[in-house]
Amino acid sequence: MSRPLDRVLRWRPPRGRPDPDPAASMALLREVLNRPLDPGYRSAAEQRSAHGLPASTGSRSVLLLVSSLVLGLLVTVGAQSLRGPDTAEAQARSDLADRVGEQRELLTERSARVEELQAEVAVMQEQALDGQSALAEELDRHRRLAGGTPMTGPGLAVVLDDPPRPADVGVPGEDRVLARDLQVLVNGLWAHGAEAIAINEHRLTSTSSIRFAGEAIVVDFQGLTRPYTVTAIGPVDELAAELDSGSTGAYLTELQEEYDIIVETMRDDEVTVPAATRLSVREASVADDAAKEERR
Amino acid sequence: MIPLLGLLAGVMLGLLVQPDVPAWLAPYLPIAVIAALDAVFGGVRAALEGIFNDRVFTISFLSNVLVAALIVFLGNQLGVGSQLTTGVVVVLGLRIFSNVAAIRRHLLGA
Repeated sequence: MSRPLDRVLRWRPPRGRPDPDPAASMALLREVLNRPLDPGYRSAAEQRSAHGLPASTGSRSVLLLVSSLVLGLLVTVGAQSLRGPDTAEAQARSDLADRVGEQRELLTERSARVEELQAEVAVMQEQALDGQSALAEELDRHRRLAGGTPMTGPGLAVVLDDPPRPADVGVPGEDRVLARDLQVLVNGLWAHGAEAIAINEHRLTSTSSIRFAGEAIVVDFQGLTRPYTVTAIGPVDELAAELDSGSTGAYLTELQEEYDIIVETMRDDEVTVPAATRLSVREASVADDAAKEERR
Repeated sequence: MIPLLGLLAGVMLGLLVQPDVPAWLAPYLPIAVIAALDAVFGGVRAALEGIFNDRVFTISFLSNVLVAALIVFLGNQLGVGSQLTTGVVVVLGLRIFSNVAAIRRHLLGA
């Protein structure tokens, strides 16, 4: 045991032969390329020959069996553990993608159902209110305020979009449209008399939320993709003035100048804002007798 | 014959037991595998040259794996783990290639 190791440790390149290569820096490469065989083999063989044994020990030994077993185990474990996590992750990813797709389909299905049911409710309400024009008018007014009906009228559209960037830039940083930007814009529009606002055809009501979830802007729990188009119906001149020179306008200008965000404002005589889909009754009370009487 | 049997038994053992490699050991595995391969090709070449020695083989196998792991460990501690890993892979890869070339010369004469 100690002798071959000793020989290995004390091995020196053979002397007496001058280095034929003047480029000494190549010595290392040559050493690696020309003498790859462990020198211990040669010296051990010489030693065995000197003792009158055959140069090779042959392959029949317990030591060799054990080390080849360890070798097989090492290679197998290495291959398995290095390959394993990747496939597991890929599996999980495709599972997640499938689930996202399924849920999306479910969402479109259910949204269509919501619209259907809303239309049904509208028809029923009309029937119930048949002949009571005052009540129908009141309902109509309330519904318009709550965002329950699609609306058309003069207004404007503001398009916000992330600055164009080369595809190889990975994680987008601050220079993109944030939920905060949309909040400021929408609040500015509300404050200056907008009657109905929608973001990407998604009607905002008094209970709507604009949030940030990871990388996406989420309006009423539904993720939006850029570009973000904010359409608003209301007093066009006042809204345009606010967007031009009011505090909202200053904010938008800063977005343009500091973060290269694309902001485009368009006035339109006829803007259509869809009805909100997430309207539900949150509070209800039994009508008192006087109201019942009145209805009769 | 015996080393082949041992190798097969090791592979079967690895496939059957499927041991969990602890996370701290994971970075050393690829380099250990390559170091082991280097020792194997060295051993095969020695066997073909008629100077195979089981002790030298075992020692070179173990020391290759240990030294490779040590270098990677040192690299990780110094913050140049990936560079040192690349260096080890290059050197061992060169050795493997030239050993394979020698084996090919012995077996095919070309």
